[in-house]
Amino acid sequence: MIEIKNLFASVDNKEILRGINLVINPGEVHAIMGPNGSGKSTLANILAGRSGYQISQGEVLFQGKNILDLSPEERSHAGLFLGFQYPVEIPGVSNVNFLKTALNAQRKSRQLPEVDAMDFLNLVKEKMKLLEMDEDMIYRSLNEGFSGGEKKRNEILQMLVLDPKLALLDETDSGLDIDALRIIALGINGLRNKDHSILLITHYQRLLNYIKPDKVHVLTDGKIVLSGDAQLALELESKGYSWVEE
Amino acid sequence: MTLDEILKNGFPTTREENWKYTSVSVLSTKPVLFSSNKAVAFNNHQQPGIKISSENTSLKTNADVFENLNQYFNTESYSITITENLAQPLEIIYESKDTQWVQPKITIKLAKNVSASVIEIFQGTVSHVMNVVTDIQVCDGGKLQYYKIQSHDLNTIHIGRTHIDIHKNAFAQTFTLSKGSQLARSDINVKFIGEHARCELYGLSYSKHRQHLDQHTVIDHAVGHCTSNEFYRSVLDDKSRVVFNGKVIVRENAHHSEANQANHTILLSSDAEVDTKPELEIYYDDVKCTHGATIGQLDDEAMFYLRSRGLSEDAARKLLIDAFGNKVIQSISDEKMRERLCQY
Repeated sequence: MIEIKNLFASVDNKEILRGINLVINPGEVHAIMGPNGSGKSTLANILAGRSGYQISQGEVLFQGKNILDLSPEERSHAGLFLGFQYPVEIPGVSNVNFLKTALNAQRKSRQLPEVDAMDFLNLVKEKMKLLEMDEDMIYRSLNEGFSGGEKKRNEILQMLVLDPKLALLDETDSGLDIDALRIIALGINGLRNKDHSILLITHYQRLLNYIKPDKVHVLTDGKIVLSGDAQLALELESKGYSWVEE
Repeated sequence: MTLDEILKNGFPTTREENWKYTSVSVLSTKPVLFSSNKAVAFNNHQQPGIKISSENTSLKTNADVFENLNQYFNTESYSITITENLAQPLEIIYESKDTQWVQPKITIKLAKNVSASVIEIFQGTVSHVMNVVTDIQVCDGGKLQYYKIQSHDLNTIHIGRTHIDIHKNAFAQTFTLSKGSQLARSDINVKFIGEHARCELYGLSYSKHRQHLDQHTVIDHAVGHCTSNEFYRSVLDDKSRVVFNGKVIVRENAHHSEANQANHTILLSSDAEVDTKPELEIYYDDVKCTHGATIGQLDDEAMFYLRSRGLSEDAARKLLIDAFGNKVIQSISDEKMRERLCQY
């Protein structure tokens, strides 16, 4: 699905990523864990095409194609999705209108006609039910005045409606209470099948109790220093990141 | 007044405070140019409760050169009385077929406890000078919704003023959309005549190319216990310029007056210029007045968020610009009108 080869990147001449290598196959769920400032969010942002980073080396192949020169929307059309750590509030745009615009932009890129209004509404309502979201949330302004948990649910809702091939979820679990965490995990597991891949970026092991990853990687100081299976996350949780550095 | 007297001092210049940011030097004072040209049409005017005559009414005091010209030529004037609640908004459409000056005057009287919507639409593709005066009286307990859509061709010059006198317990809500004309100056002058009256003034300006769009408002709290709210937003592109000047006067002994004003601007281009000026003239202590202005750009973070969901750069920009304007449109009480305004 995605292959990251020897990726080096910096912000304002400060090197953040120092040679990332990572392969995620179709159907796999990977987790990247690491302490604050290790470069986890930078990696997610670079993959999604955020500007402001200088990439000095390496390449990223998404379904065999180098995507580093593509715009954020082209990457999205190719099937990449970033769940934001801090979803943006956009007053004056209704949630439902935004979702429809986004879905139609995706469909247009695949030469598909616009989605039927009724089909669309049914799809959204079905996904909202899964995420235990109030229906009136789709008529509110995009993320405006949403609580932290509501924003994260809304990210997962967007993910389920847009149905990406690869979802990068940047600290989707942060700031959630245990019930919200369970529901979010349910949503994420809803995307999981042999054609979809997921990259979870997280501080804590607790999300992985609900979503069992195929592989866990530890990122410190811009490099993946350790990779293993789900067991590695548990070990990290009990021993702390300092254990890895030793 | 003779024409010579009216034109004695010419048109205002930017040395005058009230015209500081807007130059009308493009206008010529040669009287031969002010020939008559009719341009007004009505829609929904045959509803019960509407009476229209072509009589002209007298001038306000303190009329300036443009109002005096309008009165002098008196090419087209209508006096409208509304005595019943209107089911449909009364539409007044201004469309010139000639490249001359157009100087219509509309007087509207909304009777006691009557509720009505009035829309003025300025449109058409023929370049001309529109010098229009609209004089509205909202009698005791009346409710007026007033919309002004200025979407002239980009060759047109628009000078428009709307006076609204609000009597006791009455309410007026106005919305002004300014997007047409090369040069537009639009004034809304509200005066509270009776106590416990309220007004809400909303406005949007969208400017591009080398357009110059000026929205001036004056709210005169001449009596006490009245509330005014004002909310204007502008989006500027290219080398365009927008002016917002919001003046609030609170007269002596206008007890318990409340006046709020906010003006927000987005600049899409570094060559665009906005001049935003709140002007408070307060002659009494027992009042509550607020004002605020912000000027910014489209949010990069929001742009990235939208593009990461598949929207093109243009579509994301358009969505954010519409969203910015929608915040004003959402303040309008009438749902049908909100939908209609979103189409402009």
